[in-house]
Amino acid sequence: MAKVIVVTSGKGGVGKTTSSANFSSGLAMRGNKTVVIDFDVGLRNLDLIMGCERRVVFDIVNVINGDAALSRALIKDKNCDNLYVLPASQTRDKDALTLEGVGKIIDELKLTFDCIVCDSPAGIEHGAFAAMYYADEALVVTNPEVSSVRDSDRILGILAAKSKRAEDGKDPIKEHLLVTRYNPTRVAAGEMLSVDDIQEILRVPLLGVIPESEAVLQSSNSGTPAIHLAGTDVSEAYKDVVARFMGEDKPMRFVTSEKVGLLKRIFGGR
Amino acid sequence: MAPPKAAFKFMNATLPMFVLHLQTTDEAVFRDQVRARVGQAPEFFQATPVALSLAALADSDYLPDWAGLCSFLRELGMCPVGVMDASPAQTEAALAQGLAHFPDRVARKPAGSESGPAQPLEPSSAQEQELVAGQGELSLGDAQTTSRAAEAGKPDGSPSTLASAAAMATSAAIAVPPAPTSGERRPALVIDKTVRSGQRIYADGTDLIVLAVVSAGAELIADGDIHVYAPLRGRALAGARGNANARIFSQSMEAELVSIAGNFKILEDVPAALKGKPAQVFLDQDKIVMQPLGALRTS
Ligand SMILES: Nc1ncnc2c1ncn2[C@@H]1O[C@H](COP(=O)(O)OP(=O)(O)OP(=O)(O)O)[C@@H](O)[C@H]1O
Ligand SMILES: [Mg+2]
Repeated sequence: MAKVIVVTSGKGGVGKTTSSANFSSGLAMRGNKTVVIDFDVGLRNLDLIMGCERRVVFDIVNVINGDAALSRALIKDKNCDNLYVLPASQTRDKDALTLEGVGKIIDELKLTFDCIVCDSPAGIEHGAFAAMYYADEALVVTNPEVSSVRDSDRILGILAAKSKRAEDGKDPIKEHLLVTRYNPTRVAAGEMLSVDDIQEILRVPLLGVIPESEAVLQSSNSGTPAIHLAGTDVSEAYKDVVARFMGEDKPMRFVTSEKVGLLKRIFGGR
Repeated sequence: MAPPKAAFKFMNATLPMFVLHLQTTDEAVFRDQVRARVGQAPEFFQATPVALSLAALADSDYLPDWAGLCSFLRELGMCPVGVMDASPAQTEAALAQGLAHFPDRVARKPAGSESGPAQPLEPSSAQEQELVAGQGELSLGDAQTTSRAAEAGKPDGSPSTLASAAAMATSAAIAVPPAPTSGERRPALVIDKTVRSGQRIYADGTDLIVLAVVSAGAELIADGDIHVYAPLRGRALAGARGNANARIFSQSMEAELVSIAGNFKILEDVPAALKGKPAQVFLDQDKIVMQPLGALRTS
């Protein structure tokens, strides 16, 4: 059964698109036929991070409006065989993303794909709503700061109350917490919330922690998601996330900084 | 042939409203005090329906100058709509001035055994919300918060505060049958999922029991008591229709705002002694009291 997974956050700039690109790449690398959809109409940039911007001819709005067949809008990823990108349009207005139109696309994608990853725009407006409405599972992306956590809380409320699953009275959307741009040193210095703090507030199972890393910038500049940059911490962290999503039991990494880790070892912390 | 579309429908609604209690026959004193009170938060009273209660004066043969009184209140922005608890003569005079007559109210039985001051004499009814009346110390800051929310009282106005709670109580109450009469009780509303920021739960005519976290920015409203068997980090408004005996209980008190029967307290910070501890909130003579649970003193 195909799964629809929304990557959402409420707050902007927390790493949704970065996570969508890496997560969908990771799923594809492990043999899942995967498509990642950019719902950020007007500000598309998933195609940039995936390095396929030059190959965008048709986009999701073209498909909804019937200007192009879905198969013609899908772009095959350059790094993974099993991965396709459905880009957002840069020009058209957001209202073109009708729930009905999106529903048709998702139903059609379900026939061919195992995983349908929806990269949500920021906010709780129309685009974000369209991205989450059909979801079976949600990756709630949160940065270790109060405003981001608060927005994630809001989004979780909307996922629980306004999704199609909620409307149909089905099992609720399965929620996963993904903490990104985590800097253990700053957390230890009390400048950022810790993973424990975030979990205490949101109470959603933790899928993974992605460290703040230079590698993300490099990778988005080169149009290759960081998961492909073997040996980097971000690559490892996203691989762990995918493994856990697929049911493997992986210990959390990148949660404590070297120094703190050492101290904890000496003083018998966890 | 399709029946013609109904041109109207009557529905029962229980709407939140202020009740202004007249407690003196000296109209000059009355006007001075009301003017001063309203002056603290003028916008708050704009276009606000007000019922006039003569409970304190019904036994006297005082006959208010209803016309003068109404135009005075209108000058201050309020809309006087009717009278209550008045003697037949007082009522008759009010009707002659176009005011409505609110039928005598049945005092609601205090729920459970209450330690607070008994108030069988005070005809505090289910519909009465003493948000401001009788509470001289409501600060301007508070009132602004409240009135802003009142303006934002659109159906799904997201930043919600006190008054939108009332607005929401209103909209939720419209389709609901009249509250059960004596003896019957609506079962409590039980919520077992996290109440998230931006969500609002209203227990209409009953208690609210929440078994999961109430996030900062979430709002609980109940006509009865509120129990949260988890951290309460959002807002909790118990006794939303005026039940001054309502209480709020939480396993971990971290609320942003608590309110009982319209008397509210904004908590910039929960007192350190209570923060994160099991605690209850109740009303003692219009004053919000927060107290640790399991530390009941007999005095
Ligand atoms: N783990 C990380 N380490 C360092 N920088 C990161 C990390 N994750 C994301 N970034 C940077 O943060 C910025 C925002 O990331 P991204 O575009 O993925 O966020 P978004 O949530 O999709 O934003 P929007 O809300 O605008 O869609 C980008 O500049 C990205 O390079
Ligand atoms: Mg994005």
